[in-house]
Amino acid sequence: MKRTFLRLGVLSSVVAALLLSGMIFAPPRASERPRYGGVLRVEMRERVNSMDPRGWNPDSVDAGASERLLELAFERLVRMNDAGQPQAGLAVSWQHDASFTRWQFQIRGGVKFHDGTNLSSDVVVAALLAEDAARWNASAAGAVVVFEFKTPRPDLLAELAKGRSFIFRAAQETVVGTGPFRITDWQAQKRLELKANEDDWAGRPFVDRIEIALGVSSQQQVLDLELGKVDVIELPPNLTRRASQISGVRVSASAPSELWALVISPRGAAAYDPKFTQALSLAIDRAAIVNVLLQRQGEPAGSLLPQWLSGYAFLFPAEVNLVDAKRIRAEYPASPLQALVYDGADPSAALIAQRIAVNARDAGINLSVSTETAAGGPNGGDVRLVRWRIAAPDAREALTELMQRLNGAQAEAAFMPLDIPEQRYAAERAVLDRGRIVPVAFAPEIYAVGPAVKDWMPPRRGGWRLEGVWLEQTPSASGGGTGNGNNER
Amino acid sequence: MKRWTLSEIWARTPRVVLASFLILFLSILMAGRCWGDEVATNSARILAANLAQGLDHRKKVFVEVLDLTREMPVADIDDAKQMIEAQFRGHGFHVSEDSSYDLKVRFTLSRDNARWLWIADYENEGTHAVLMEPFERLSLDAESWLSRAHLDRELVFTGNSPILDFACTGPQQSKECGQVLVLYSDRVMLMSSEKNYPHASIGEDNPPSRDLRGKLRLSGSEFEARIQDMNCPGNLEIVGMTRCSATGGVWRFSGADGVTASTLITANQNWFTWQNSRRPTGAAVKRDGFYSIAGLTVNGEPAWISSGTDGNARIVSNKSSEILGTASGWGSELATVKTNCGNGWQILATRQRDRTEPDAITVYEWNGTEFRALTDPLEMDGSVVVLWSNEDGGPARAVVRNLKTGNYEAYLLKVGCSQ
Repeated sequence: MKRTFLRLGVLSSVVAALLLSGMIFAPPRASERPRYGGVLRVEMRERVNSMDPRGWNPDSVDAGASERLLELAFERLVRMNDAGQPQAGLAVSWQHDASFTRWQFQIRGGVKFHDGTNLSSDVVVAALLAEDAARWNASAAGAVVVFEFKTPRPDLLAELAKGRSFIFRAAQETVVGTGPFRITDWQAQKRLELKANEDDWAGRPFVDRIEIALGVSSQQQVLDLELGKVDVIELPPNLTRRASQISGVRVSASAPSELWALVISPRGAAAYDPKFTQALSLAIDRAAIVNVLLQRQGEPAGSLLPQWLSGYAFLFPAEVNLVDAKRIRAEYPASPLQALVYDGADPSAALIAQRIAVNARDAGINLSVSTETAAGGPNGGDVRLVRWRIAAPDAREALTELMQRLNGAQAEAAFMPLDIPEQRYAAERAVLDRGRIVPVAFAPEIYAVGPAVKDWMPPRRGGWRLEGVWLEQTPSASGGGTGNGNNER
Repeated sequence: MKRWTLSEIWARTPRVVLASFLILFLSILMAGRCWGDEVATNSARILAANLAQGLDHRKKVFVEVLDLTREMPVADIDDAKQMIEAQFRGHGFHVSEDSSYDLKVRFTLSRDNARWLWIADYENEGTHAVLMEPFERLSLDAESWLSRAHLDRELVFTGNSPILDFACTGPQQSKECGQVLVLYSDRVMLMSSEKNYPHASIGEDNPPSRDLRGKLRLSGSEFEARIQDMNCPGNLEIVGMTRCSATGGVWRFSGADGVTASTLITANQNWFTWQNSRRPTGAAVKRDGFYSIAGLTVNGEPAWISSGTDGNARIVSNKSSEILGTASGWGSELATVKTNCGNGWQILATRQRDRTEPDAITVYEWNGTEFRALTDPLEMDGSVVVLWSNEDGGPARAVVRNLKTGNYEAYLLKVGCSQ
């Protein structure tokens, strides 16, 4: 017995010595408190056309990508946290009357635009009126911006926290913002370079500069990450596994923030029958689409809003039911839906559209699949596969946006009350029962970040927070950081 | 040092194991049901009552309760089920325990991005009906617990705003913290319900930093709230009268035996340098920047330990400014606690993790030649964003950002020993 203990003692000494030597000889790593300095290198697949908030279209295909870029340089009066609660942005406080027709916003003092001019209520009003004069009846009074509306606007805070409501200052050819980074080089569709805003009211960002390359293919992005040429990349689901196998790389996925769905197009609507749409919905094997095509990065969708946002999505079944699908299909002599179109620029869309067509065929519904371009536009088919971003962090706002995108025959649903979960559930049920949309899957935004990137904590609903990111640097470059570019790698 | 024989270890092990189990069992019992779970159960009762009123009470009902959040203890889910069944019985329903029922009602505990929800749904005569009851649920306030390794953390309070520092107004060695003075990025507030939470706005003139440093110093009823390069002296009796002024970035830390360290916080950033970087002889001393500093004694002489921005911790003599020892592999936060254990001063240090990962705190001791870990790392539920020493060597103050809830949790950290 004593010998056993002796062996154990020797063994533990060896282990302890190994551990100790590891502690002593391990290269110094960054500590957990953020450090200043360095250049963050980012690559994106999208080719963003403009860094002018006036030209930004929230409904465009690359709306998400361009908003992520714009938010680096421009800010809004209000912002929403992950729980959908309004937080002070360029406005520090606000109040409204009992009828929500008159609102007052106190503008934050001491804020400077990137050209050095001061933020004022006049500039705020000018920016909002330039965005949409009919939408914002705003006027300046001292350090206060006053909004007056003829009809109640209880959701004004949410409206000001999203979309094109960026505050900017336009001078001659240039447009400047107050955001955490200032634009130093912009080449449309190719490259964006930004520098930390030393005067940012919320504090100077930790990194000195950001370099963003646009229009880089997903494969190339992963390769560049492998070679250490880039710090942050976007990932399509099919490359998630490969990226996660790169040493030191972390893959980060947001909560599901995109809805893949089939929308009956105006062409298909002429002959559509909600019951037939139900057959199509029952035929889709959503679990297979999520597990195989989306590489388990997402969840099957039976509803418009994902579970994390609504809390009630589980009440909408998303399971395949081929028996019922066939039974309903058999009630119709011919399929009123024949052509399915998708966005040809999106590689995931082609795979999902083809898989849906296979599922539909199993239920006796023959759908021809083609790109929107080949079909003569988004409305060239009977059914269109869409990939809609759920941008709002609040269930009410998100549902309102989705219902507005459906519009047309669904317009009446937009007037349904959506204040409490029960009302939102009822509205979703009504929209889905009308058979104009078939939810397919919810997908997250996925990023891969290199080993030097620290405090990568994007909003739960997707997007970036590059102002909070810092970089681990080599010991020779350390020393507290200076914020003047001396620590750049 | 005593060497244990095998028979002694065997003889003692069962008692140690039994004691551990006993502590674990008592902890579970002490935790009991928290206030938040009572809110959940009460909301289930309200929903059940609303539902029962709208149904035909002659029906035989079966109740199923599910928890999609997976955050409610199983025992509490069982309690909720009993509460719901009691509501139905109270309305004259016969509640079935098996599969012989006319109506199956499913109660699901769910949550959206902001609140919790009880959702009741059932199929009745061909229609699917749904009722919901949203509710707010406070975060769990864990009881204090004693770690195996004698590093005791005591939760003082939690909140959803970033906390820069806090101070107990009661005697800190006791379990009662008394009223708590809290320093936020924009205000200093006394958590005193009797006085309706008096507070003073520190205002928009805050020097900006993405990683604000703030510290409270309490002496009797007087306090100093320091944020970056501003100092805000005040009094607990008139917290609302607190006013701030710029200090040029000087921070003074109290150390052992009444010595102080004068440091400068770097403008708009999160690290410090020594204000006086000269030896008593007048020779300049090169000293790196640091994130944290705490006092202690080495061989009876006052000294300082700091966590350098280069990732190394250093012990420095207060008298000679000589570096007495260095450590690598620690995190950026450290504090010291004066105890009756070992050489009398213990060092609490975080580990090297960024804020996306849970942190841990380890107790170390400097024995004159090397740092020795006295405890296993005490795992926290998130990142330690604040760790300050007490002026008199008492319990250290830590703020943890809980990765699961997003809340900020204020802890007192006490080192105990059983020599």
